[in-house]
This record gives sequence, C-alpha cells and structure tokens, in this order.
Amino acid sequence: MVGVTVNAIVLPVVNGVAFAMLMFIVASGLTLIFGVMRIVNFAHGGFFAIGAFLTFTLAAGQRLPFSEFAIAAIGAAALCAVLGMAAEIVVFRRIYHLAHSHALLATYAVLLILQGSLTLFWGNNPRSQPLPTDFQHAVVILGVQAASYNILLIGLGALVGVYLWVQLTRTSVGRMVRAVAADRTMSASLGINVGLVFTGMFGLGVFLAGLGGALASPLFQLDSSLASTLVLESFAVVLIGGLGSVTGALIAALILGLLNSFLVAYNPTLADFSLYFTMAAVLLLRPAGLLGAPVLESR
Amino acid sequence: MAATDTSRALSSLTPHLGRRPWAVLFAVVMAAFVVGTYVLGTPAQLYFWTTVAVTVLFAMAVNLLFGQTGMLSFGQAAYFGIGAYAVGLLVPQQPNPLLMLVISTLAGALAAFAVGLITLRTTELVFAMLTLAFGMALYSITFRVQAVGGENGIVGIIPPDLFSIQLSDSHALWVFTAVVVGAATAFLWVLAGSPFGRTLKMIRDDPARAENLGIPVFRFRLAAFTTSGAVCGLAGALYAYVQSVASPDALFWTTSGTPVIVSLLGGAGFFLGPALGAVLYVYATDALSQITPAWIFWIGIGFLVVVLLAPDGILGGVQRLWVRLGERGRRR
Repeated sequence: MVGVTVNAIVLPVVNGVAFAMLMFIVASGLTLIFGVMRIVNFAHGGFFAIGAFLTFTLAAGQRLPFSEFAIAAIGAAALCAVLGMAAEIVVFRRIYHLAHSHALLATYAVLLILQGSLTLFWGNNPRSQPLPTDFQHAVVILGVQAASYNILLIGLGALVGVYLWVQLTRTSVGRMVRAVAADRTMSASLGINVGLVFTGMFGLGVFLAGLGGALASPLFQLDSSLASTLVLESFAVVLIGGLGSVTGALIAALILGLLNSFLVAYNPTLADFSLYFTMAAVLLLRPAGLLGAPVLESR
Repeated sequence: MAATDTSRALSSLTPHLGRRPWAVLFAVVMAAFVVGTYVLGTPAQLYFWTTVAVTVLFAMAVNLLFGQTGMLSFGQAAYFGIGAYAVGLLVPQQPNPLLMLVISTLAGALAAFAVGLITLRTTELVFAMLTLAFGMALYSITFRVQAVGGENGIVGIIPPDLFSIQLSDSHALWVFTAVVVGAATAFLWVLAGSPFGRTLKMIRDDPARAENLGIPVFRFRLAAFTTSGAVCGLAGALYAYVQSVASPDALFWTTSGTPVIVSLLGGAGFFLGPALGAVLYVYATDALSQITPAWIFWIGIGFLVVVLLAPDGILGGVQRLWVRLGERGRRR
C-alpha cells in the first residue's frame, strides 16, 4: 500500500519538475528579452525549434554518449545565440519603439521565417533524436523508477536558474543590464552601451531558447510545428510568472509542470486545458502575473 | 490600446463624404467580376476565388477589431473555427444552407461575447494573450471530443442544396460565397461609416478621451468584439463549405495571426485594406507553394518587410503617393 502511494506521488513530481525545468529554461530566455527590451517575442518558439533541429544535425541523429550529446546541444544553442544576435541587429532593434501590437506582429513574422527555414533546410519529414546513452535508463528514487534524463533536466534547470540569478544580481554586467532595463535613456547618458546590452541579452535569451530546444530534442518528434506549439507553454509560464521576472518564471513553470503531470496521471482529459485555464485565471486575477512586474530581480 | 500615429493620421485622411458613388462603382465592378468568372472560370480557378472570398471576409472581420477599434486579438481563429464546426455538426441534418450560416454567425457572436466580457477589461498585451489562450483551449478540446472528430476534425462536409441549387457544384458555390461575402462586406461598410463605427475609431485613436467624453468604451469594445466574432463565424461556415472539412487547424493560434497580418499588408487603416491583402496573400501562398514546400519562409519575409517598412500597408503607400502628387499639382 505504502509503495503504491509513494509511486503515485513521487513519479508525477519527478516528471512534473523535469518538464517544469525544460519550460523554465525556454521561458527564462523569453522573460529576459521582455525584461530588458520590452518586447514579447513570438519568434522565441522558432529559435527553440532551430535549437532542436541543429542538435539533431550536429549529433547526426545518432545515439551518442552524453559528453558528445552535450557538445552537440551546446553547439546548437551557441549557433542559435549567433543567429539571435544577428536577428537583433537586423530586425529587432527596429521594432523596440513600435506599439506593442506592431512589435508583436513583427516577431510573429520572424516566427514564420524561422518555421519556414525548418522546412527549407530540413525538409518536411519529421526527425527524431535518440536519448544520450548514459541517460536512457531509469534510476530508482524513493523506491520509484524514474527516467534518468528527467533527473538530468532537473539538474540543468537548477543550474540555469542559479546562473541567471548570480549573473543578474551579483556581477557588474548584471548591474548594467538592470540599469538598461530600468531606464535606457539614463543608462545611455551614463555611458552604458545600450545597443550592446540589447544585442547581448537577446543573444542570451535566444541561447536559452536553443538550449531548451536541444534538451527537448530527444523528447519530441521534430517537425516544423515544433516552432508554434511549445512556444505557447513558455508564453504561459512568462505571463503567469510576471513578464520580466525570472523568479516568477521558475515558480510558474513549477506550478504548470506539476499541475500537468498530476493531471496526466489522474485526469488526462483536463491536462490539455490546464495550461490555458491557469493562464486565463491568473491573468484575470493578477494581470501583471504572480510576481507583478519586477525588472529582472532588482534589489 | 493606443494606435500608432500613422493610423491616427490615416483616419483623418479617410473622408466618409462622397464615398457613395465609388462604393456603387466598386460593387458593380465586383458583380461583373463574379458573373464573368462564373461564365468563363474553370473549377480550379473558381475554387481559388472562393478561397480568396472567404479569406477576405475573415480578414475584414478581424480588421474591424485591429484596424478600426485598435484591438489586437490573437484568438479570432476560435470564432472562425466555431463557425466551421457548427456547419460540420449540422450538415447531417441537411438544413437550409442560409439557416446554417445564421447559426454559425450567432455561435461566433455568442462565444465572442462571452470571451469579450472576461478579457476586454485588461491591457493591450494581456488581451492579445488571453484571446489566444481561449482560442487554444478550444483547439485542445477538439482533440478530446470524439463528437467533433478528434484530431481529424469533421471531414466530408457537402453543402446541402439551397432550394434547388446544388451548392456542391463549384460554380454555384462560388456565386453563393461571393454573394454572402458581398452582403457581409456591405454590412461592415455601412457599420464603419455609422456613428457606431466612428465611435470605434475614436476609441482606437484615444480611449482615455473617449471615456472622458462619456462614451462607454467597454461596451463599444464588447460590441465590436462580438460583431467581429459573428463575422468570423460566418467566414468559418463558408470555409467549411469550401474545404469540405472542419479541422482543428482552423482553431490553431497561427490561423488567428494570418488575417491580422493580411490586414496590415493591404493597409489596416483602410476599409478595403484587408480585402486587398487577402487577395495578395492567397495568390502568393498559392503561387509559392507550387514552387517550394518552404513557402511560409517567403511569406514571413514579405510580412516582415511590410511591418518594418510600410506599417500603413499597400494602400497607405498609394495614398502617400497620391497626396504627394496632389501637392505637386497644386504648386504648379
């Protein structure tokens, strides 16, 4: 009896937190971009999908040991970051001053371009990337068999969270970023290179999207619809947590991830809508999200 | 939900006086076009034009919100899809196709009214995201409900006969669609020029001022949102007839993005902007998809160029050219 109860709780918790961490990695990039540049970036999902496909290409679709898979994943995320910085210089810096609705449509156009380039470079056939060899087995936690790849995701999510927190609150670069987020005109007049901060932060945000895509590549079928499906989950996370708040994104990701995994285990019909209903409920009660609108954890 | 300065400038340049003769001329030209294509067109061409007509209506319905009231909804696919599914569910009963259009229109209006009641009190960004969330919730529901065909949707929709006219014939369906779209366009045109339509434009240009002048902004926005939902439902019903299918794709959030960008392409500040944009969009997707499977890449590039370089669309560009030519003429 006890075994059954533990099984029924521990497994959804592990799976839920693992999915939450994947969402958090992608969503933290989205929230960083909003926090600094004040744009909601539909194209984020496109970079996520590019990250997944690049991982597939760099890993040649093979089942690799973790070390080699990790190199492919980081390489893919880095290529995404380069692409993102190029996009920032060519496109995004022209839309920061536009009305929200026009900026949103511009990023939507970029999403279409990225989605189209998936077909352009990888064709229409869906691909799949196998799990790395060191992480395809189950491990036993509290007497429950859980996928070791999920444990890896939890660890990496925590790592990303800690890195972002230290980077934003404990370094001089982070101080500069927070200054630009708070008041870009004042920052510029104090000698901060605002354009460089924008490009750099956009690169970091897109790197996180690409990393999320790389880590998700063994978990999903890779086709061009990837660009427009998973982006909604990270949108929900960012809006529920509060636009521009990394901590909020973490909390929201955990709520959505756990809610989803428990519903999948106990009431799969509701699981599909939990995301949208949670998002609608939170936005109606607290339009600014759970953690209001802090500018990148200002201290 | 302030509109941009460009659209504000445009609205002052769009005179309502003296537009009646032009409208009559336009209607005559369109009627001649429909008759001409009916006589000369091949079934493939008529299918193309029927698709264009449906896209035109969908874009105009969305632009009632986006261009005329200054509200960006990313969830109009929901009402479009509701219209399509209403047809799919009712086709086995073989009702009069006109009655079915009325039902789809009312279904779209009812759903939009309910969603609008909840979402319209929020900010610009939250409104866009909430409408998207409600649309996607519907999308997810279709996968779980077997009555609406799950992920395949409702397939094999054959339009029932209108009195004794067989609408399953592509020629008859084209005329039927053209007449319905024409009537709906006339309705939207009268609406745009009416005190109601002008109040919407005022709300778009300066919501705070409208509120201070005693205009119940929320109610007007709700009315605009409901009307848009109704016309989206109508467009969705026609879509189900033309495509013979009501699929979850019609509800997916990217379906909501297309009519907005199509409006922007033609010129969201102009009544016929969305129609022009829709014609070009359907033509471009049709032509591109025959050349490359990655047509969406080129569509994206085209949209991006419009958003960045010509946010007032093609008609905006034409108008600026017209004004400049006029000034040059006066100087001489």
